[in-house]
Amino acid sequence: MAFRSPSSCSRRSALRAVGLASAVGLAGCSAFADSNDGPSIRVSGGVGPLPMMQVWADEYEEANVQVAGGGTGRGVSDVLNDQVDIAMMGREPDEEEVEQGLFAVAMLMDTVVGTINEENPVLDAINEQGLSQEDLAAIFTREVTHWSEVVDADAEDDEIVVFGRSDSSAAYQKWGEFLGGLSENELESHADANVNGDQDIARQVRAGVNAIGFNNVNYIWDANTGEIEGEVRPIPLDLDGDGTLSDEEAFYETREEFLIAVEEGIYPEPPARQMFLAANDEFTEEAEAFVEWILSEGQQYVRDNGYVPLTDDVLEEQRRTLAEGR
Amino acid sequence: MASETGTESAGRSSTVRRRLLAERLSSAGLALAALFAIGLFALVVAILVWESAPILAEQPLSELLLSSNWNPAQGEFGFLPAIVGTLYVTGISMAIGIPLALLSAIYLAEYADGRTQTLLASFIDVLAAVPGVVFGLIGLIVVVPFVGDYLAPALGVQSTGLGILTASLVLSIIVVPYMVSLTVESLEALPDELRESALALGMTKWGMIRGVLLRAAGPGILSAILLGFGRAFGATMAVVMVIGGMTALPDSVFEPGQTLSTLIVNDFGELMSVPTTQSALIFVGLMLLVIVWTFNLGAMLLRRRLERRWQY
Repeated sequence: MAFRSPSSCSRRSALRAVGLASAVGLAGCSAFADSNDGPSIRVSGGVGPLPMMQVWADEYEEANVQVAGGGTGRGVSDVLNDQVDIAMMGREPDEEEVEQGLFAVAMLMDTVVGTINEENPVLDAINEQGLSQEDLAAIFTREVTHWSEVVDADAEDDEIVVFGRSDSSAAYQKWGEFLGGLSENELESHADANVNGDQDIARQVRAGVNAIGFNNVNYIWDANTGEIEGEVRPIPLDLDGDGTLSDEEAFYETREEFLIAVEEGIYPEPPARQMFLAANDEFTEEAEAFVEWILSEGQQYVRDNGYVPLTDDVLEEQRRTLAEGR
Repeated sequence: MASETGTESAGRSSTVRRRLLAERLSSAGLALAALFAIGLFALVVAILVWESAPILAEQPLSELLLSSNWNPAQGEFGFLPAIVGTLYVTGISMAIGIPLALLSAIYLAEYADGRTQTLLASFIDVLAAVPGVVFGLIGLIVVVPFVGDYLAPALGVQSTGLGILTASLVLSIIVVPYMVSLTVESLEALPDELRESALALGMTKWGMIRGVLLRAAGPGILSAILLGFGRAFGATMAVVMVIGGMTALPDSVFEPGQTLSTLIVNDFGELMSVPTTQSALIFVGLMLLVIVWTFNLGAMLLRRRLERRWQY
């Protein structure tokens, strides 16, 4: 028994130290929150628009914006339960959600691009010909299983390995719509494997020469330089299906060029998609001011962060919707 | 307790009263704490049942458990693929983990001595404390390429490396430390007379371990295995990272799959706002709880019976 008392004593003092530290930490935290005089806006939701929202939160000076992720569904249930003021959504609201009182305006556009490995045996042929929507649909539904069936190249032995998303993802949903109205589950059941998140798909594409997936802009073009870097290459789309990639279809050199093509609607929607900001019935005064700012001044930060700004017409319309409320 | 002779002073009797009061208060406090813990558990069960009621009202239980169509967007909630996946992953990981754990526990308890034993035992303890997500990362970096590039081709199968077998391999490493710790404990608790008399009768050391010690420590080892099973059954993070997340009945262990717990992780993010899907996922949670619960209850009863009748 004698040996036990020092250890229990030290454990107790350790516990006390932890308790004290966390109490001090909490006090410090609330002090920090109090020190900010402006009103505070709470935002949660979609992982896709999260990085952009963090930039906006930093730039916006009128209020203290607290941002959390959790996924679109989480954001929606948070905002409907009045846990947050604004929900970020990677997709348009469902009918069921609107019935529960959700009110949403578009904030920006985002998109994914089909991706392959830089060492892909038919990379050159794909860059020359592009893949049409039908080609991609056939690949993702396993109607074709070898590269040689979609491009003119000698690659009989190279079997395509298809990666999808295992988590519920608005990007995957839109990718399925683009490929001809496939549901997330249909896509999932055709894939060789499904992984959790954009990051993991990029990782599998980097690892496998015959892998095909789809990724967000920032996994393809370098976030700082806007050039294609690393092992993940975009799959150019043969938009008119003529079997070659014409000059109008070749906009994958830099991120800037690509994002402009999305903005102008040359790159199709879907997979490009609008993302939304939503409130329970109506935005609070502070939240409305913040959303208004996002739909005007805030748009200037969008392209630098790998997203696509809304066109002026759409912005105008969203601002009107916002002002009128539901 | 106070004597009735009337010799004690008023001061002393008040001390006694104070002590009795403290005694009563503390026992009430302890009972309250215990009730609180039980109440919390009851609350969790009640919430799970309440929240899964909508899906049960909408679809018959047999349909939910036996259908393999999982398509929340279409209102189809067949849990069979996830149930089969759970059985596969748990079964394979236990089949690999149990012999591994038993052998290392025997080595640690009976063969290793002094410093080696302390060192190895502390390693095992650390291993038990490593968060699942770390094993998931290692699985992703090491086990996935190993299965995809070597093991599957060696067996003539095409595989990306993400799948049920990979998840089972990763999981078998996760469950081993718990089983080892408990088995070592129950072996070490056996009296030395047992070993001495067995050896004195001319048994070899291995013979003594196999014939005497393992039998004597039986109930302890059984509960170690059951605890490992519980861990494997509910393991989530590491499994979700390497299982390949597909909700269809798997044809082979190299195919991607889904377990009950990964189903919740994979689907809750986007769809929590759609009531039926939320209810379906909460029902999965209820299923996990009920299965682990019945298992623990059964294990407890079995162990009690064994301990009563066990003889070495």
